[in-house]
Amino acid sequence: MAVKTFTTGEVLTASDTNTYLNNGGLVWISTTSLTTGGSYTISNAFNATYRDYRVVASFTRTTAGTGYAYLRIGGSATDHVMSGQYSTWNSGTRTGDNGNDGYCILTAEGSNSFSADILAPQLPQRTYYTATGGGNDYIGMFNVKVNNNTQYTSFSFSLAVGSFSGGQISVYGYRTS
Amino acid sequence: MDTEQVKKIIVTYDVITNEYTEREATDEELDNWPKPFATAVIE
Repeated sequence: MAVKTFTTGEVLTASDTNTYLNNGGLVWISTTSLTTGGSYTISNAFNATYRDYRVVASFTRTTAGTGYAYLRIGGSATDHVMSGQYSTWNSGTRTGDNGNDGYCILTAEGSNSFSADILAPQLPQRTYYTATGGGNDYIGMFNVKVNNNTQYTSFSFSLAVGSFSGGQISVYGYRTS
Repeated sequence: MDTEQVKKIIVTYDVITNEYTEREATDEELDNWPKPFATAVIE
């Protein structure tokens, strides 16, 4: 539904409220606190209401050293075929990266963040997602194909190094009608 | 803190019930735990 421009003195009806104000293009689904442990599973994040999703996370991590963070939609770890690249901040050197584990950013001790678009996880077809983000040491962009046709309702977000010590991960659905 | 000393805890958040549950990872989950940067495949 296109955006409606209201005029001065116009009556705001229940129908217009439900159509234009309660349902923007990007609809919030959930926010999960990332406060402990090394892996979070967001259960029932995907459903038939939305085809595509956006995930936004910012968090802190313990322990010195660089480590991947993994976004896995489901199935085996090796179903997540990745191709991407990363670099140190303000560096002209970009390193190509690939793997079969579903990693989405390179994290550092302290603050980290990323956002990802997850396309059609709830449909019986391949799920694709692209994640961009990083921490204090590296910034990168990773593209992942989940190499099966399973319909998924959940995803997990895990650290290779350290534990979560604060922050949150939010899920939004792209409204299409 | 060494990487191996970090306890592998999995937290599940259910969007429908708004509940958090916490448990230690199983042996299978530990086998599939994300690999540190130094051992990842890099080209």
